[in-house]
Amino acid sequence: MRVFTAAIAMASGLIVLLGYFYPLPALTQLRIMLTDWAIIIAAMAVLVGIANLVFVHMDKIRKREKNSMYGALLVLSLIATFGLGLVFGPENQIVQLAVDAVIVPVEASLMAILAVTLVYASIRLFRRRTDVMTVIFLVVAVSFLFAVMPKPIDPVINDQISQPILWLASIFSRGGARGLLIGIALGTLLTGIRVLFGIDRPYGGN
Amino acid sequence: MVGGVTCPNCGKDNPDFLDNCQFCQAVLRSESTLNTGENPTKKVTAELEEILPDWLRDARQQSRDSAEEESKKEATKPKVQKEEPADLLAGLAFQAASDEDEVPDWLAAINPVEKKAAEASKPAEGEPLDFFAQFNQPTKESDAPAPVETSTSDELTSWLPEASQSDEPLRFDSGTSQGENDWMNNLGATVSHEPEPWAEPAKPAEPENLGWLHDLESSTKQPPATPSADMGWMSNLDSASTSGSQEDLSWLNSLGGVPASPDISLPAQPASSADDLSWLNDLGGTPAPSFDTPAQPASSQEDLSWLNNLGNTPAPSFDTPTPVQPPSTEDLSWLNNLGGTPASSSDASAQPAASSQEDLDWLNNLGGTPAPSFDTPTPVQSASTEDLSWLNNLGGTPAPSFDAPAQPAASSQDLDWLNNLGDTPAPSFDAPTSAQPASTEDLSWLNNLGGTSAPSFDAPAQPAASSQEDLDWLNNLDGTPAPSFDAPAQPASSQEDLGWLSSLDSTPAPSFDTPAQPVSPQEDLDWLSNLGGAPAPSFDAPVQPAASAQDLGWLNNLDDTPTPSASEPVPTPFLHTDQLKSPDASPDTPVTAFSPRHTAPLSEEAHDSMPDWLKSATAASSMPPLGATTMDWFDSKEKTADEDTSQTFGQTQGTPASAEQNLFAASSDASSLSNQEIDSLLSADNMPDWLSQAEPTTESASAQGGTSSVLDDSLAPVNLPSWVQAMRPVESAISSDVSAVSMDQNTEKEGPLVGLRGVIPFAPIGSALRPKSISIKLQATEEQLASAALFEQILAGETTAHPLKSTPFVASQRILRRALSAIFLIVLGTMIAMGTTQVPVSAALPVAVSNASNVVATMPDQAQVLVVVDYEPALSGEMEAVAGPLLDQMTVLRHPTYSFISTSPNGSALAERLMTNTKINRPGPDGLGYQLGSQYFNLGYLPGGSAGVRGFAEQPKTIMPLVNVNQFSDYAVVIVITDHAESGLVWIEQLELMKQTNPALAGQPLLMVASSQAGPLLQPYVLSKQVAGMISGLADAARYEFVNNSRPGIARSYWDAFGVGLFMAILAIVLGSLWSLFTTIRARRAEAEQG
Repeated sequence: MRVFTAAIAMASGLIVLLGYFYPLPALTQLRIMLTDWAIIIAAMAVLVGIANLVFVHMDKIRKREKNSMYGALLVLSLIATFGLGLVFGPENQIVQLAVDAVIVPVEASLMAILAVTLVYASIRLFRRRTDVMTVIFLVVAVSFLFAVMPKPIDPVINDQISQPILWLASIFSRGGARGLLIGIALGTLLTGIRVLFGIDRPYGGN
Repeated sequence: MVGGVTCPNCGKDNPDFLDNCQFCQAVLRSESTLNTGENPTKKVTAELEEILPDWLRDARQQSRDSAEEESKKEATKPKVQKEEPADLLAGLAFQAASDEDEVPDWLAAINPVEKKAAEASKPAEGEPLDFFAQFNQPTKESDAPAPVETSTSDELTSWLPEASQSDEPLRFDSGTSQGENDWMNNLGATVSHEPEPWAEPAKPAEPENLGWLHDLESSTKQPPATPSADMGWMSNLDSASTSGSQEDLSWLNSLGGVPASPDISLPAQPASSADDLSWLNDLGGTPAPSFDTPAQPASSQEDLSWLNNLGNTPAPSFDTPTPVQPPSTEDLSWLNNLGGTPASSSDASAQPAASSQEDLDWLNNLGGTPAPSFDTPTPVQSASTEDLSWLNNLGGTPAPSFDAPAQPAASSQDLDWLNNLGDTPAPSFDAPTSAQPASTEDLSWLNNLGGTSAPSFDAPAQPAASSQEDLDWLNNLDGTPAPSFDAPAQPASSQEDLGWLSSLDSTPAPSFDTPAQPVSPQEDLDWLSNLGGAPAPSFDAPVQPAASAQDLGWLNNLDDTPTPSASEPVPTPFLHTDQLKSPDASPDTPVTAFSPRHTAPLSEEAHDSMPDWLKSATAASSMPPLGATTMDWFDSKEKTADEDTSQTFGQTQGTPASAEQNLFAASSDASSLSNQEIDSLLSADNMPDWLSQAEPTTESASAQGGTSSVLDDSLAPVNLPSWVQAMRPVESAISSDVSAVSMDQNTEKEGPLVGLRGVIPFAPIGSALRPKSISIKLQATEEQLASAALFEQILAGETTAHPLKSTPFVASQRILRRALSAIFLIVLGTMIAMGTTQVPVSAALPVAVSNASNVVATMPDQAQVLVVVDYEPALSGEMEAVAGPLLDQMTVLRHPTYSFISTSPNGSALAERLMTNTKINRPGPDGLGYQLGSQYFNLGYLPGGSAGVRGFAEQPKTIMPLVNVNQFSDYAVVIVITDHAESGLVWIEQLELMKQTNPALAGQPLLMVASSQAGPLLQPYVLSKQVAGMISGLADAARYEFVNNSRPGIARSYWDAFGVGLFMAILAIVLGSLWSLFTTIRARRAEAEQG
């Protein structure tokens, strides 16, 4: 069975890869078919995941475990949102209210806490470590914030002050970003090769 | 040059005190090279008087005192030379020849026998071959009509004629066989006062003459037909004689390098002991004629008479009991053969060869040549001829050995062990114990003293061990094996053994009448007293076995000129001989030293031809000069000589000869030893300790009281040669060790262990030797205990857990966080609530923002725009503010149809929220009034990630059935609103790939609306033109909004709060960092102060 799954995985990968390099109609149709299967599987995986989440929390509720109440709330919210969305669609005001009144403020609050935490961490940084890297980090952070910060001055002057800093910051940010992207690409390529050769089996069978 | 002498050869000037030219070594003075027959010029030696030793000056004084008597006596003597060169030793001759009164009483008592008749010296027929030939040169004044004599004496050096001037005829008493040592009267070239039948005519001696040398030349004048063997031996100097008695000394033929004729034809009669010293005839290497002596009993007293010639003194008279062998009158005439003159006369007794003949056999090996063993089938042949035949090897020629099985071995060869002194093994002596013990002179061990093996002595079981045998060891003195001489059956008197040495120093030896009485062994070496010029005492050679304790200290001066130094230590064995000093002789008796080197200025040729051993013999000796001083020296060293000698030699008398001869086997390679080495061996300085201390024992020392300790102290430490150390008797080493070990050990006196020492320990077993109990308790001081306790505390502290220090910043952190949160909430809330727009926005758009605006401006109207909502609800506020101006401008300008699709499940809800917040779906007049399903489409969630994007891009209708376009290329603009770079990268990669395969997609611009977090990661794609334009962050959105006429105004509403918030953040970070830094430093200082 493991061999079979591995063979399927390797064959799917090779077909899609060849379909990218050789735009043959049969090969393209095969690649598209496999791609549609992948999208469907991925969509079903979301459903399976949602169903798993509901089942886990339902199990907790059934077992009356600690904090199972939150689980029941989650399940109810999920069912209500899912039901409302299926019934009324995403454009429904109730559904939209749920998003605007629940999801966005919650997540936005987390981001606000993150901002305060980062400021606090920067203040406490010298308490933890007082070395060159700390100073550099703090200087760069303050400089970048200062450059991005809307200043109550003339925008031209503001740009004259901010552009050099942004240019300097963009150099490092671009360099770092490109390096990161290249690393991600190489990692993705290597991972694909490993999957193709059966070394890594994310589909199971390890 | 004033007072200089011009060299006749080179013509250069030389100081007058030089005899030879300092430039060409030519002879400057004619008198220094006085030839034979020339009259030497007399010199005044008064200036040299001061440098003379005392004894010599006394001798000279005595000689001057007796000048008158000398002149009278000399008138009756044949005068060889009228004049002789001045010589330092001239006084010796006068002293020796002055008067009989000069002879000490002790010497006269030792050998009271009259001098034997001078033996007729046989002239040498051949020319001398070497240096010694000059001694045999005939002189003009020689009165002896012997034809051979004239021929042999021609080459005598100048000093010999001088010596001959003082020669006086010796009177030999032929009637007594004991008169061998009478020759010693002529040792100093003085006349013998007792006329003998063979006595030579007395010659007037000059005061300065060396009278002792007179006999040297006079001996050459002896007719060969003279039965006396005094000078007859000289006939063998040049040619070997055929007489039987001459063969006795034939070994001397090889002395100077000429091989001696080993053929010895002896009659059936044993050779007399008088022939013992005839070997000296061949001393110079010339074959010595052997004399056949009739079968008369040889007197052992005559054994050492050959030594008369050793010091160029007249040959002693050999007392032969039979008239056939008249005693030789040549005291030291044997010395004529030293340079190669053959020795002739020898008195052989009819009786079996006396053991005394072997006494001086050792001298055969003086030359360092190994002497082969001669087996004489008949004991008769081992007669007197064998006595001194060892001297055949004196010059390096092997001397034959004679095996006389019928003869008894030397009774006591005490010092035979010295035969092994050298490296050459000594043959064994098969000498059965004789009925009569030897006369104590078992000195044959010295045969191998120089390292040459001595031949075996086959001594029959005849009681004929004489004292002469004691010195047999000297045969190998120079490393040459001594020939074996079979001692005759008759016992030899030890008196005669070394009596010849009395004439060594040209001192007139009185006539010795050696009666057949036993002589104390101590007197055997009394002749040494005359070596230095003192009158030789008479030796009484007893027929009975004499004590073998004969000191060999005289050997120290055997080959060297004695030096007056008397303070040198002498080995103990030599000190035991009390006979060295006659009891009658006073130690103060002036004695003349024998120094032929200074008294006989030899010619250059003669000096060159001189053998090494003779050169060394003329060299200065390390021992004091023989004579009275020697006696003093010996006397000072050993006062208990009598007892020691008797003990020492007495112990060895009973030793079988074979056992003694084994010692000879150790000696080897006598030829390798030079005379200097012999001298060094025999000298007192280099005498080994074992040799010097071998004889005295602790018992004797203890018996003598403190005398032994004095002797030990006087002995100087010596360095033994390796071979001597190897041959050193083990007894001495063991004895020393035992003595050292036995200091604290018991000697068993009873039981089977009697005599053993140290077998049973002193202490009783189990008592004192029991191991002591050792306390186990540790005994430590207080300081050590304190240190141990401290160490324990340290170890315990290492294992104890330390409580962690509590941090004092917990409360403050919470306060700070809350304070910061409150500040930000208050300030930002206030700013948002106030809706201030005080902070200006720059109108300058960045390139990416400008490109995005250009895309909106260039896009067709009513175009299908795909808006990908791929951000999370947390960043919806930022993303809506960033995307709002772009969507607003596009909607306003181009009224596109939006298809919202999202790769996130929340995307569809957020798309609606975005349309609402940007007021696009809001109805007008604030909104744009877009309607869902007609102007915009919410396609929902696109699952599958990259695959979903790839599929949607390829077949949008297949993937999203609700899509309003058929082809993906129907979308005029694709706007990706994302807050993270990964989702944006998926769309960029998939759409870019689609553009390569689908040319319809080439003009489809891709705009990116990213958050400030995702903007830098997507910036490369913007720069690579894969992304047509990008709006990143609130700052770009505010600028774009400002260019877009500040629509929808979301960015601007956040702009002031955003600015204040960043400012507060910067301020908080700066102030907080400085405060943190200050507090950190303060904390560290506080810690540093606290230690």
